[in-house]
Formats: sequence, C-alpha cells, structure tokens
Amino acid sequence: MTDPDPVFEALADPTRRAVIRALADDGPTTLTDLTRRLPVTRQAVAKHLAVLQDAGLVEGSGPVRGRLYAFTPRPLTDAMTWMVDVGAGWDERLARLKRQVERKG
Amino acid sequence: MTSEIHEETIGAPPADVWGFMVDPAALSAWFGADAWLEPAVDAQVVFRFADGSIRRGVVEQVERSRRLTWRWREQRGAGFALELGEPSRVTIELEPVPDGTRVRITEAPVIAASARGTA
Repeated sequence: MTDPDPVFEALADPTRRAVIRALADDGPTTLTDLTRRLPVTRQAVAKHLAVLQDAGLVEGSGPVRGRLYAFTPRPLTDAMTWMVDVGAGWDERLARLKRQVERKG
Repeated sequence: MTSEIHEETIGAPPADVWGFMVDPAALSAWFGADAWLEPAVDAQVVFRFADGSIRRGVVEQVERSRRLTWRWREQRGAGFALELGEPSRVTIELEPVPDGTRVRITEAPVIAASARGTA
C-alpha cells in the first residue's frame, strides 16, 4: 500500500475535492473546462491539479494545450483501507467507547 | 484465530457504559460499524463495516450492566458466492472499580470455547 499522507493532504481542500468530484462524475476534461465549472481562477485550478497529480489521484494525458485530466481512484482505495484498518481493532473501539462515555458523563 | 483480550478503564459507572452496549446508535458509534443488537438471548446481531463486510450472529448472554456475549461470523458475498468466516464469540464484561468501570472485551474462536465447556 502506498503512503496515504499525500492523498489525505490532497483531500483536505474543498476545491480539490470539487475537482475530483467533477472528474469522477463527468470523465476526463481540460483545464479550461474545469475552470469554467469551478469558482476559482485558471491558475488556482492548475495548482490544485498539480497537487492531485502528485497524490496520484489525477493523471494528465495528451499535449500541453488541451491536455485531458482524468481521475485515478486507486490511491483513494488505499487511503480507505488505511482508515478501515486503523478503526477496526478492539483497542481502537475501546478507546472510542471511553471517549464517548466520558464525554457524555 | 487466537483469543484476544482487550481492557480499558472508563470513568463512568457500569450502568452508563452498559447504555453504550445496548443502544444500536451508541454501539455503532464506538464500534465503527453500522450495528444492530437487541440485548436479548437468541436475538440476531448484525454489524455492517465500512469495508463492505458484514458480521452476523446471535446474542448468547445478557447480564445487565455486567456482561454481554454474542457469537458471530463474517459473511462475504451472497447466494452461491456466499463465504462464511470462522465463528467467534465476543464477551464484553463490565466490572465496577474505584475509577469507574473496567471493560474487558474477549474475542475467542467458538470451537476452542466449546472445548473448554463454556458454550
């Protein structure tokens, strides 16, 4: 499994989540088209795409002009596996039980 | 599968901790799964986990504010593709201590438990 840190960092920003959502829903698209659909500048979208590419969540293909960006979900699966593993043990459950009971008291 | 014992001391009386065992919403929250459990012997238990797996079983022992035991096994797939995991028994014991409640959770294979005559 790959290091989940870049994935969580990439997902920590609402615009990047919006980019992922747009690519996942509508398929590969260009920077120009993404900019039209998001309330941020072309430069900002380009920066977010770079972060998403570093995290392995987006891949660009084709010539620079009109390059298509596509969602590549594999790192999300790894990150989800990581979260499930962390939360699934009895010790983690007991720790959550303790926090929740004591918070209520 | 080997037996696992996990313990934690919680700063609240056993009756308060018990409430988190027998209320499905509270149970789901600390369990990390969508849990359905009715605190009655022979009642069905169902836990749906975030990874899509499901564990089903049956309540075996209910001693209010003291002990809750159920038997469960993992189910993957359905119909002809249904796969069942090894059955195990989960025992949650609550013991009053000066600081609150000692919670001990034991998960053990059902076969081994039967061999010890506790089934």
